[in-house]
Amino acid sequence: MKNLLKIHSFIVLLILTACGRSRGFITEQILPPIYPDYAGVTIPVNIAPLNFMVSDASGLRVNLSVGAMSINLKGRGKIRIPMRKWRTLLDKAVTLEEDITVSLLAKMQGQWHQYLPFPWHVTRDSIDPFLSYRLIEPGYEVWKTIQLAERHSESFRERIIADNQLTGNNCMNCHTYGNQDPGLSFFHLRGPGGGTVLNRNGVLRKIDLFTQGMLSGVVYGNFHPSGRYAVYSTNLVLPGFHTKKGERLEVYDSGSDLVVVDLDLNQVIPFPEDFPHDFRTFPVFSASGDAVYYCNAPRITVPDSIYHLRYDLLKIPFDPATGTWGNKVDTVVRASAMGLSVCHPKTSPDGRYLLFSMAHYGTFPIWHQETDLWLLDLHSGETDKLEEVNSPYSDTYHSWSSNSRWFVFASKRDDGLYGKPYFCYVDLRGKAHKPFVLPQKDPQRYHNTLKSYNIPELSRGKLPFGASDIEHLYFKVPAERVSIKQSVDHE
Amino acid sequence: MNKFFNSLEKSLPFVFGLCVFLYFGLVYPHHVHYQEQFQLFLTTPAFFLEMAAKPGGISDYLGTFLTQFFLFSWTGAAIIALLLTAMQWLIQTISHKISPARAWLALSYIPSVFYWILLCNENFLTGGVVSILVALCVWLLYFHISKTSFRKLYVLFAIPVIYWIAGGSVIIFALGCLTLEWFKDRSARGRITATALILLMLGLCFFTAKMMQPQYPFARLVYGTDFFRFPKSYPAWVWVMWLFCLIIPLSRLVLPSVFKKPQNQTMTRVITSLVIVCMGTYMIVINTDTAKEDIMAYDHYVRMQQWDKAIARADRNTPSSPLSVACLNLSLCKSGMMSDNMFRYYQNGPEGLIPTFARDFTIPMVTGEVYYHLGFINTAQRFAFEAMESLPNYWKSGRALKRLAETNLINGQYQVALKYLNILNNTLFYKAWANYVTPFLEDEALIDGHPEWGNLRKHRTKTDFFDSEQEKDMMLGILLQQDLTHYMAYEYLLAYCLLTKDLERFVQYFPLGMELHYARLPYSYQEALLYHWSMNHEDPFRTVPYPISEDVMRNLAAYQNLYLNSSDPEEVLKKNYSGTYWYYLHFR
Repeated sequence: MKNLLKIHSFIVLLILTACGRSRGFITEQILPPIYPDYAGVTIPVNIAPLNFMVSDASGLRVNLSVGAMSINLKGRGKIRIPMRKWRTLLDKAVTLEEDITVSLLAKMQGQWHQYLPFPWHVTRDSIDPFLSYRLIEPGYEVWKTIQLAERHSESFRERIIADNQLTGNNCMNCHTYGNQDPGLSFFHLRGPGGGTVLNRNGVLRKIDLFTQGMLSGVVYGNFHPSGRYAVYSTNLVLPGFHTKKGERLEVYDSGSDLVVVDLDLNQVIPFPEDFPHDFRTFPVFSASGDAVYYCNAPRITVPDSIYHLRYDLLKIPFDPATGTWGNKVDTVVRASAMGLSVCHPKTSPDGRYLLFSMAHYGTFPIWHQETDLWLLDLHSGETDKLEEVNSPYSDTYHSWSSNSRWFVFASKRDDGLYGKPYFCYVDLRGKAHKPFVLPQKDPQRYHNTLKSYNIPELSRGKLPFGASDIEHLYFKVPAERVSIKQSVDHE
Repeated sequence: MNKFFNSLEKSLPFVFGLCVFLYFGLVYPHHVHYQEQFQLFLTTPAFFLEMAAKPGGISDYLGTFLTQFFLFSWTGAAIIALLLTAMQWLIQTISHKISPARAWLALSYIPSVFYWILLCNENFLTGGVVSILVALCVWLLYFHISKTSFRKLYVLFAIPVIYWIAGGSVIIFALGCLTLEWFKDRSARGRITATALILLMLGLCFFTAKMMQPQYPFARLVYGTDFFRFPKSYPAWVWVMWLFCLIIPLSRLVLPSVFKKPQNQTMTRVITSLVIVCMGTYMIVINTDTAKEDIMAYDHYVRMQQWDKAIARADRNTPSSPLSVACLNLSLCKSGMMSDNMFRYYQNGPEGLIPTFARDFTIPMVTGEVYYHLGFINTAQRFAFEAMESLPNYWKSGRALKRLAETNLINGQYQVALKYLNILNNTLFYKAWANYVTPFLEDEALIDGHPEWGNLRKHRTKTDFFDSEQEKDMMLGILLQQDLTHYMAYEYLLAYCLLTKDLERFVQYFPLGMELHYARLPYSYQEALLYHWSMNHEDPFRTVPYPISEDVMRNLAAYQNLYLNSSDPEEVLKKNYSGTYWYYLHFR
């Protein structure tokens, strides 16, 4: 393969230099210093063009080729690939089952440099075409602009689906899909006109998911596959500000518990009381909907013992027919025994995998540089530390594609502070490939923006609402109330 | 006489401009600085496109472009003077085009004087002036089109263009032209058509803007340009300003242009001029906020590390607000004078040492300076971030970004520092600094050798604990414990105890300063130690174990005597002892 790439690059360079402008280049035995790092990544057949840049280059000449097809591109320091040619290239690569080869000449300080070519592996396993995320500055206590955005990952179109300028500048939490279905989603709007916004096929409801007997309003949540139920954590959240270099913010719970909400009956089904009063958070339903995975830690004094706060991954049955919790809890991952804390479990839609993040301690991995993603194969019980995927900085806030072949996650790998959505391919053998960042029309956008891309979530289609609908909902529609389900039977 | 008035009128714009220039240069220079620090103008096309995407955004863009020069107060004053003089000239020229009448020339100063009054409030922004100037310029061009059909077409096409460039100021142009068309076209049909078309075009602009930018509240799209720093506040003064810009030129339609008696014309000129000058002066005086100017001055000196200027200002007039006092105390400490002299100035408790965090854009900026110089780098970083995030108009702050780059550099977070430096590299006045800092990235030896950053690296917190607003003394204590040569931490810790009147802790912490090797014991420490000793021991002046000077002992004896034997000790002691710690302890 390497030889083929070399021969290919030689031919391409002959073509690139044949025009006479790029004569006399220096041959570099390294990969080109492109940003974003797209070298050797696996991409879906339906992704937007992987535009890239070389920071210090005053000229770029790029050749993209697969089979007999070849595209030559030029740019000053950036390469923008025309959409139509890109689509043809991807289709060709999938049809021929060949990689796209990228050869690059860069003019640095008046001198052309030839770098090693690299491949783009194109898979016919497509990724869900829409992605939602929250755009927010990675601040501490104060926020100003918070927007929920929807991005078409096959193109560069981005749409604002909620904006806190239209909702009294109040906080809004991240947007969560059920079954990656655009017709089933929720997010929490805070403030006097707030509530949990529930989207069911475009019909928007606003529910106040807090009632007497609950620890707090709901925070982290996940839909049952049926769409009837949602499971949430209730958290008494406190912030703490580290003083040591490199550490920034700690967010921890002084109390937390779980509830299931029956969204048809507006009833809250509390977690069974016959379990210890532990910290419980980050609940998700299993793919089949008959169990809830969640993170659990023994109650300790916080923040004094925060460095010893470690969560394990537990599983409790749930009966959707009767809407009742089970009475037996199993430990799925005993992270505390490894000196780690597990957060954000996410089950793949096909039920095979459980993807979660691991940090040294605590319950807010996005601010822990050491946070990594781990993949548990629920069939074999094997755990993969995803070394190909993780970076020295925080990698977390992940979400699966509906075909279970892709997941998206927020990574701070570039600078340790600003999160960006990365896509990762998991092949049929369960091997995770090198991830790549969401392509942008202007590859410099990530350098210029002071926003973080929070909790990216994939969806099979476009959401049926927009920012004005949320404004209307916030100001004009009263929130529905919920009640606690009185007789709670357990299995 | 008339000749005299004519030459006076010709020179009036220059006199007016000079007054504005001197006012902002001499009376309000730190308001000018203040404007600059809460915005960031970038030279990138992306910045322009982002600003220009909103109605009125181009005026904001031009406003931020001009405001970047406010880093230098005299340049800022000159720009404001030019803008306000240009506004007067435009109003005067438009008025003249409508009906030449010299008698009413003074009226053309009203909008400029009114905007001057508005600019006394630090939250009125330069973009607003630009917005009005754009509308007036386009209105002036209207008079150069003589053919009726072209003129009407010009008005219709200019409305969306002005709206996109200058936002709501389009109202001046639209209603101004509409009124003139009414006077030109006497037919009912013509009037109705003109009114309908202009109003329709205005409505269409607002409606299209809402469609294109659904994330903005409608009221904000009506204003377009950010006249005011708080975009959720829609000050009625802007409408008054638009009204002035509209009715003053249009008033020429009804005001007499020729007077039967020449002396009436002269009288009118004199009276209108006098009324405008007197009213304007009075309004400017009552709207000049010297207290805010004072705080901004201290903040500016601290930002620029001009410690001597802050102290000199306090010597002229001792500050009283917590923010000013915090800046003064920082300046005193950085000059090695705090422990000797802090009680010579008014002290208002621990808030005047390290003000409590507030969710706004001014207090964290000032308090962050204190934390930064103390070595609480993370806290300084947080305060800079929070201050910038608190900016109500969602703009960025050059000062805050600079501090973020510095703190990330000190903390070794080079990639984040680089991100901020790359942004600052696209500015006019921070570029040189960004270029200076860039070689420091990843170069540990270079940073360690830097007089400021190297020192802060040495002194910054090495153990991890959570910030606590309620336990600032504990934080200072931890900082000092890990480096007993940290002069500032020691001085702030003891000052905190003195200001909270916690003498027990003061005495407990006092020995921590052994390694600082003071040439002599600072006066406020002598006063506190002697006083504490005298409270618990008999014959304190003989038994006191600290090196207390004879003067301090004599003073305390005299102070105690007056304190115990006066009916109004506060008043009696004020003259000779208001600069002592004892006076603060008893009466503050």
